[in-house]
Amino acid sequence: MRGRMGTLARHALLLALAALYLYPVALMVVGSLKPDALVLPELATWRGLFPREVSLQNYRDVFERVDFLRFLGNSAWIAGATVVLGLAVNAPAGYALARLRWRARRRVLAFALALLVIPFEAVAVPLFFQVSWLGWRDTYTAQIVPFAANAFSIYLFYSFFLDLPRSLEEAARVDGAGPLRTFLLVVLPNARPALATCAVLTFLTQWGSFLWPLMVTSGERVRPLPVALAAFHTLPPLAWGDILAFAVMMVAPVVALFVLFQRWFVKGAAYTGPRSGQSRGAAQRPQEGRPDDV
Amino acid sequence: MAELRLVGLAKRFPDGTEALAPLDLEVPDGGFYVLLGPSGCGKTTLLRLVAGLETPTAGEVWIGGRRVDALAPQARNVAMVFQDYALYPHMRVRDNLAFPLRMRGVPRAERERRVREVARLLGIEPLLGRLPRELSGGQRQRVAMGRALVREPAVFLMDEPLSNLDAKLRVEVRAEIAALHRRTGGTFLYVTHDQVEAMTLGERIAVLERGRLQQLADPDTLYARPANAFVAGFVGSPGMNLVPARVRAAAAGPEAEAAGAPVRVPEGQRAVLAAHAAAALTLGVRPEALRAGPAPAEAAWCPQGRCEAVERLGHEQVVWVRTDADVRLAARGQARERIGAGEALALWAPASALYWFGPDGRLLAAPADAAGVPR
Repeated sequence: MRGRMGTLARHALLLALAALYLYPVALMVVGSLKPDALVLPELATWRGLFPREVSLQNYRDVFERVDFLRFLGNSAWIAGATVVLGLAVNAPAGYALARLRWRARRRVLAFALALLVIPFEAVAVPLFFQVSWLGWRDTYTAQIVPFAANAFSIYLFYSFFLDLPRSLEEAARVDGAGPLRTFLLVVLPNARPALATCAVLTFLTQWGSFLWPLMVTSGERVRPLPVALAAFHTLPPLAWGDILAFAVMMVAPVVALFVLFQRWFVKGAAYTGPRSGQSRGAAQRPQEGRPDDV
Repeated sequence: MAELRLVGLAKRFPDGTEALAPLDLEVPDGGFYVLLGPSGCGKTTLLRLVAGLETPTAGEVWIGGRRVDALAPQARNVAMVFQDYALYPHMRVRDNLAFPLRMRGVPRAERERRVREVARLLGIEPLLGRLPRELSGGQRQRVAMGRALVREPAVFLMDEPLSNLDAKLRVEVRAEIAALHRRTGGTFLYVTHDQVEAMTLGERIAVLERGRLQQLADPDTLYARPANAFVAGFVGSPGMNLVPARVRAAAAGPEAEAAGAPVRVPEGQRAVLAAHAAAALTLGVRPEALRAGPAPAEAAWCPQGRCEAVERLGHEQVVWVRTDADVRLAARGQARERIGAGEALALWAPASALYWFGPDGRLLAAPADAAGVPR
């Protein structure tokens, strides 16, 4: 009986914590379905979560008042292009650092890692000058290119490729694949967990990015959702239901994507060694005194 | 198929370790050669040099009359079976087998035909649609072999392909590899640390130690006339007993003593021993030539000691003896007699079983009837 009580208490605690964290999200969703006039007054009451009536009027209002689909399209293009470009750049970079032997490898790796500690805000202004000088203000390019190469992604790929058994690549070489085909046909397909992780993280960062797009965009043409939301907020009349509806529509695609990708996320590296579970990679093989070069 | 020729092949790693001292080796077309040695002896490095996965410091690699040491692995037309099989985890068995053909631009229909052929040869047809992770260890091993066989390379390289299989499966697959070699007539270079594997598979065995070739010989010669004390101690299960010996020149011929017991030097070995009197020699006796019990007239050496341990193998047993002179000896014989640990034992060896090794470890004298005519 004691054990059961303990389980009950534990579940109660977990539920309470979950409620605490989900409360704002629930408020957002419920608020978006209520008449504008009732959102703020009922906020702190139980009616905040259990409205008398619900409708999609706020959503219709958003589409009438601004070109929401344009902002959604902008965000999707910017985030999507950064993901694709980022994978195309960061995966080979991580591979080169992990596997190829070249002179400044160690130093470049250390340099890339050092970049991790620099907050974006610190480089925002110089980057702005650079982008202006290139004539990229008010373009998609300004919002995509600076974020393609990413120190964290490179590091993630680097450490992933380090753990990938070397014998796979060696087998591909002996089987007749050159370095490029080895990378594309054998290494990349086995890097799916790293690819998915990088894709999701890059996408989320770009989707929620606010400061930089605010700096480099002035019109609505290339404006992404976060900046559009801020602008919508200041667009009279002040209608909280509409703002929350805007916010829900901004979050929904990301949640959907995450649910979709989660399967990939969780799936571990699928290397199959001599017997399942005990992967005996080249890393554990006697390398007969081969030192790591500098 | 083609012959493989290594000329002065050497490898030194950037930190100065000599992984392989300059080595010459010639594997004839269709030959099955085994590289045998303890781990770290350079055998895997040698194989990787042939495959092109390492760059030699010096020397040449010739395959079928073509010099390949400057070529990339994919240009050498060799196939390799890796110790961990290195199957591509994301490809089905069918695609794993077809990969080398795909890389060489073999048309699809031809690819499918050859994959099916190899799958039939190895009995893995029902597995073609599976992923490597859905296979057992033995099945994976077979797929790895299939991937090497499928494109009929000039030379097959095998890096301890059986070391990840359990003992029973290892014996089965060993026989399969021998059969495959007979059937394909391919040129095989096979790396192992397991001397049973080497003895049963190899036409000739190259024993390596610390990057140096110790002996290249057929299995019988390797066993009967080991080139030096290392080979004698490495080959055999357990290896040859090696006992420090003292030799004195006397009027009636050389007198020797090992492990506290005098050695009656046989007629045929006297001249050699007399020439090395006073040097620190090593007496070698195979465990199966060392017997327990009262010494008969033909006994040439009779050390005394205490039994340390007995390994019973069913039909046989290995008795480990610590002699009174503190030398450890192994005696292998029929398991009829029960010997307990701690029991005092008298051992003896016939004159026809004595090997002598010089101060540098080189074989000085072998029993007169030691088999194995050098081929």
